[in-house]
Amino acid sequence: MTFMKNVSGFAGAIAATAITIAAAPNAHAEALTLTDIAGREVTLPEMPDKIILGEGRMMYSIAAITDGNPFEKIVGWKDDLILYDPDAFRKFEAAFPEDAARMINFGNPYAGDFSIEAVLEAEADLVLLDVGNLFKAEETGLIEKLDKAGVSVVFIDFRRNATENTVPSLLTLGRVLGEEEGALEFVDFYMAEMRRVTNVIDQIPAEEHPLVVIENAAGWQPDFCCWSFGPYNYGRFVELAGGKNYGSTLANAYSVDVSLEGIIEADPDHIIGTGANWAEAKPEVTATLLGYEGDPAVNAEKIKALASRSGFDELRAVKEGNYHSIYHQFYNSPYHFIAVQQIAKWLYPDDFADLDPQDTFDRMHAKFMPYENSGQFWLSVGTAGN
Amino acid sequence: MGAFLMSADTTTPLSAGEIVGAYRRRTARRVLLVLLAALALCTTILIDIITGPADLSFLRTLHVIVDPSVATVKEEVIIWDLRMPVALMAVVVGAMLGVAGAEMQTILNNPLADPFTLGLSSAASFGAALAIVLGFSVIPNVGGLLVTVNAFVLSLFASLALFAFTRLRGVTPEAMILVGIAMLFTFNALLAFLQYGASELQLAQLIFWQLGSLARATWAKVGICVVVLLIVLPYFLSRSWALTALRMGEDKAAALGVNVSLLRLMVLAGVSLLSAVAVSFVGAIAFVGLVGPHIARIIVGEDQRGFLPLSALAGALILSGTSIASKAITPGIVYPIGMITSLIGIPFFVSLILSQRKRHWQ
Amino acid sequence: MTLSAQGLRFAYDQRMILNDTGFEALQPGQLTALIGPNASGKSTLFRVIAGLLKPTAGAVHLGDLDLATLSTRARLKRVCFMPQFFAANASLTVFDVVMMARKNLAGWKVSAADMDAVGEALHSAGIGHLSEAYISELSGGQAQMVSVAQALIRQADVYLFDEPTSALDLHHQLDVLSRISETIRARGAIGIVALHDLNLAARFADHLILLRQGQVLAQGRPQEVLHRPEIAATYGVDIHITKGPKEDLVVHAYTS
Repeated sequence: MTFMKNVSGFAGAIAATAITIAAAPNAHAEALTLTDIAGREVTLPEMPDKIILGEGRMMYSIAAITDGNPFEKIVGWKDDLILYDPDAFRKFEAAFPEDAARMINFGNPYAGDFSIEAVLEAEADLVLLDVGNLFKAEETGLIEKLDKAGVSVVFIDFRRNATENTVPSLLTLGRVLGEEEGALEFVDFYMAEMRRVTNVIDQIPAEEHPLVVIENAAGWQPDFCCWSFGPYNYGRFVELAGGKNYGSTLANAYSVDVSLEGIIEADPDHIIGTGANWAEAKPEVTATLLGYEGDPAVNAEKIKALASRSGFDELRAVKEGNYHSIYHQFYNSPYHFIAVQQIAKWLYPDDFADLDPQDTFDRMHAKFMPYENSGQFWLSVGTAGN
Repeated sequence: MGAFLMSADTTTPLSAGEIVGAYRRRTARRVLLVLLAALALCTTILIDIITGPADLSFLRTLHVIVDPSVATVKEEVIIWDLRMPVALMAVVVGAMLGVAGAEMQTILNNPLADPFTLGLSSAASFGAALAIVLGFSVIPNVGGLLVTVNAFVLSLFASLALFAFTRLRGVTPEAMILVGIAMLFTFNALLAFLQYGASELQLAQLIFWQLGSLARATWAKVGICVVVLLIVLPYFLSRSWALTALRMGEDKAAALGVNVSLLRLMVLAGVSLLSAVAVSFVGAIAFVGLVGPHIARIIVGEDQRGFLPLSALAGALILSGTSIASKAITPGIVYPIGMITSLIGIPFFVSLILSQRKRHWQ
Repeated sequence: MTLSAQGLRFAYDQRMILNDTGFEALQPGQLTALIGPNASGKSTLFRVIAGLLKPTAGAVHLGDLDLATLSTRARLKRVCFMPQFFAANASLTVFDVVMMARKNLAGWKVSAADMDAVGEALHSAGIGHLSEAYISELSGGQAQMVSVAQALIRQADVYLFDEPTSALDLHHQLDVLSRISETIRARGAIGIVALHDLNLAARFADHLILLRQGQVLAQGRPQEVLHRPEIAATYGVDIHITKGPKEDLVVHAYTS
């Protein structure tokens, strides 16, 4: 008797669970509350399915966490991906030609206001913005106005505090896209690959950290030196890779303008410039054209030219072959662990003899991306390629 | 300068000899002050050359300058390629801006005039923005000189517009100022338009350009500036009496035989050349051309024979001092020059005005 | 050399300012007073004589020389024009501006002779104590005296003074006019002074020209011209002329 009662009770429980699970697909109809990277508590009435990207380059992260077509829920973006990383855009275009073509262009992300009309016209229910736009969005009342029209705004950050905000931003993206699994998987990968570097660096005392100068967008302005970073973004990448970031010694700011004389006097051990395929938009740049379509032969010439600039050619770092170039767009994407790995390899070749960032990048593409890896993303002067 | 403002009948008349004596003393004082300014400038140049994040002693620096062969490669690069061009650029551009401002104020009869209040620098900024944001080159095939050439051409274009309009409406200060202001607003609006479409890097580049920077000085650029200054300044000096006469009013000047319209246009041409070249190399540094002449005027008055050289020296001093200050704030970091010219120039200017009230300069 | 003008015409904005204006030969060493109501064209006539304005018809002759054949610069070297108004907001001292007139745009250096000449000029004008004052600090009368000094320091064949005494007190009016008169005589130059005050005109001028609406209505010696009905008609007054203690003419004017 008791046995039957237990069984029926158990069966009842199972039945109840089955009903609950069966009801799970209706989760889409439930409200979604989250706290975004700007600390705002946002409630989405239901899972959004028409999303606008405040920066086209958010696709780097969306593609990585999405299982399937990353463009599925996206209706439009700002066209920075096309302008500043045409190589990557073409990869997306090749994989998803119709979706890439139907993206509505919402214009320039760094100046000017988001057109609320255009957003409503597209019937979007969510706008994803970079936290750098927070001030402007509040100042112009954008968030309020969109809210009134029933469009939610969520902020993410892969740039300003890249290393601290990447994981929370990925999780947020996972939640609003309904790709929580994919997000968690990528986060695991991110953390594991970052730890491969930081675990080793943690053992190395700070006094032994080599001095590194980061040159932001080397060659963008042919006769200029130099834009650098404080302890943010690439400056932080250098620190995590066990380097002492020169910019951090001068100021605690995101961006620091440094003089060539200061660099010469500081006598750094390594100099790392960032580069990307800007030649299409700006033919006169002398930067290394890194990216999916990077040509090692072309870039070998370019990096030699950069290292031969007056004042640079006499630096010890350059003479010892420690003048490097790395992909600029890692500064605004969740793949920056690749940058950290490659920088670590440059700074401590012996400690990281077994680390192969190229392999890491290939594996990342195989596991998470809808297209294959290709091109060149870093090089050093005096080497033929990666 | 103070004056005995009593009427003729309550003062003992000075003899002709005493009158001449007072003038001689004043002239001697003017010459002395100009020499002092030149000396001060030599000092600032020297300080500018020995200031920087690299640790080079004063004697060592002098040694390297006098005998370049003893320098290590690092010292050579720092002193000859980095510090000296910057120090000299500051002086030459400061002089160019000072002279341009002085003559602008003279022909426009307006103490608030400087080449930039008439839109010449806005035009240059717009030209730079065309290059930076759109990659558009007014003159094709200039490669890396894109920004400089664009700025120069647009600045000259603005001057030409000034010329043309004033010839239509009459070469009067009012006409020039009105047209100049119209251009200022027009180019600023166009510039804002371009900024709207700029990326993060482009905006950074543009802002740095608009606030001015000496960091891009090279010996070639210094050379070009010196040549331009050596063409324009002697011409202005040769017209000293005519320009001084302009300050007496058009009638008086015309009565002395000055072709006022022609003189204004020629001077405008000279000022345009000076400003266009200066701005295209260092970006928009507006304050120097306004305050340099004011300081000169307060010290030696408006006799062009002293006013012009001292305006040049004052401008050079302001910019040279600024160059030193910008390096001293945080060694290793480069600051836009325009930010600092105001901070240096204004307090000095104010203190000069205040001191003038209190003292009797007789 | 005498100064004469014939058939001058000048229009501005379709208004005829000088209408067939001319005057007989003015003798060297003599001072002529140009009288007439406001806006009769006195300033314009001066500018035309100086060559600053080009007439549409007519000519001005200095002796046999048609002044129009000279370049503006050359003409202005021979004709010294003192305008009525004097812009005075520059950081220039009185000595500076008189020196500028003396140098007359030529040469860079200021010689000892130049300085002595200016010192003398300021001293004899009684404004020596103002020599180091900025012109922006001068009163209207003082500025006018500086202006006269600027004119007199130049060596010219013809001197044209446009209202040189309008801002001066009585003492200085007499003083300035006597100095002008003496200088003209001493240099054997031709002087024309535009005046409002008929008494001053009567007292100092050797010759009188009455200008009204761009036309010369009368010219000649003061005692003749002043009695003419055109004078009374032009000024709208009744005129009686008597002689003063020094045999100078005194003009009494009465409105009706």
